Amino acid sequence: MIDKKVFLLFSALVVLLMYFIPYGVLSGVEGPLTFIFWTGISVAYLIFVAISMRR
Amino acid sequence: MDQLSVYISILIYLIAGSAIALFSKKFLKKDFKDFYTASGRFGTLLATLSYAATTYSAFMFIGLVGLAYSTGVGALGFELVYFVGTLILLYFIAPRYWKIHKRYGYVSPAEVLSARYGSKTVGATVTLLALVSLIPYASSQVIGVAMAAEGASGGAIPYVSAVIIAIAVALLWSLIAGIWSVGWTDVFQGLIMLFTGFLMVLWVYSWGYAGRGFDFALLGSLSYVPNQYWSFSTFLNMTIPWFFFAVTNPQVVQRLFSPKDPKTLKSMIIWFGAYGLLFTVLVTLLGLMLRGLTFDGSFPPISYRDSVTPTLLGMAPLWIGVFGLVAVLAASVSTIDGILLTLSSMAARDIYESYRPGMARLKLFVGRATLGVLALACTVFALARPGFIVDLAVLSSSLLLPQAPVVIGMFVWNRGGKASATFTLVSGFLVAIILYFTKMAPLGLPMNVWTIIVSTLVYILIGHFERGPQGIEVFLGIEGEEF
Repeated sequence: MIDKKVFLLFSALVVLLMYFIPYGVLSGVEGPLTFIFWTGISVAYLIFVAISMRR
Repeated sequence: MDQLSVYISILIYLIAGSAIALFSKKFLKKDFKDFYTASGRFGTLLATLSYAATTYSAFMFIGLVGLAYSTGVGALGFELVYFVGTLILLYFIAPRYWKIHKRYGYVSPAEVLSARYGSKTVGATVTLLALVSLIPYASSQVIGVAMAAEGASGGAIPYVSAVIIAIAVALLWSLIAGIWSVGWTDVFQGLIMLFTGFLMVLWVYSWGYAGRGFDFALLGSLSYVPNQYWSFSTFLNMTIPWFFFAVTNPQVVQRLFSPKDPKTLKSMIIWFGAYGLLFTVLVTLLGLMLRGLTFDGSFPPISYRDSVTPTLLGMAPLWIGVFGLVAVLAASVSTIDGILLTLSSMAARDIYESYRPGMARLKLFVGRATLGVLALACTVFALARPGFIVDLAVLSSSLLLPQAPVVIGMFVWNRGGKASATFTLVSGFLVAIILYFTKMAPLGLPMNVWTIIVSTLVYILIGHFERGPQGIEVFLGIEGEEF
């Protein structure tokens, strides 16, 4: 069972990463990495939400 | 595509959708609540596809394809920040809205706010702001359809005719059985949208990239984030209102009332997530692939970004063009009818019935009449062709953004009443309007950052000195209940 506070903290982390990985770590990196990062983290987050809601 | 093919495809779509809308009438109980919320009787399929089709609009097929084409990979991040934000908000807010509706039978989202903040002024203010804010958004859907029809037919279908067809269809399908006809036609339209998304991506890939594959290197600076368009400031400005879309746009909030039980609501959120993610990636990929084809000379360069999809539909084989046009029409109509329906319920409930309680029996008539007036307003706005679809959509969400602290605070803070809610809504709206028209960015911060900061501060400051009204514990206590 995922606690609501853990859910909120994890979600906030995901949102921060969605801003700061492309504009920080991957800034100026050519190619599909940013596309793959945004897609991958969104898929992972959807799975996390699905697991959290099945509790 | 020739004119006849376009008209035949629209006619088939119209007949099929209208048959579905008429079929849905058998589920309708003829009362105000059922007309607008289905009295909480939607199963997973209806709830999911209705939520998805109402959310995803011409903005996706026309706006996002064009945005990805002209600005690159950043368009994907912009839409996926919305996606993640929506899942977060639905996780926390959807069960609360659902339970409140189930227990007290609220029909409009503004009515819930009136109850929590202890004043009908709050609901009326939200309604008025929504009426002003959502007309550009609903109109942008119509613009999308009209451009697609014009482009697909090579100009044979005039823009004005397409505007009238889209509005008339949305109005008809809203009036037949309210949320039931809108919901069932959303199922039909949601499936068309996703199927066509796949079809268009596969066709563009096989047409332009068979044997060599799509390479991001083709995109040059458009594969970079940041680039000349997606500065951090622009990204922040565009994603903030989008992040809060699920709680600030009444047409999607009202959908949270319709699932029949908590299990259905949870399934709706998860399946909506799967649909949304897939659809977003497909549509963005389509825009990027088309841009790659422009760089190698296979697809014409497009300077007006909303013309990318219409140009593709005009060039593609007939069967792709037909599916594409019908999908754009479906995406638009499913959003417009949802908006018209929700706004009419708010006008009837939060303005008419609140201030003319003695005439409550006429509220369904008032709701239906409001549908007609709103449809007319959208037609006039769309005929003026005021700007890019993405910009109009973001403007609408910006104007609705001040609702975010009021909605979220409703369930988590025991302070605040009529004054804090009303001042928050009005101050945030004024900041958004002033900064939008003056193009000012004080301290270098974009408009939407200021809107959310000002509205949140006003909410907290006034709420700090204003005790919550009686009955507030219902909204706060709803969190601790088993769901």
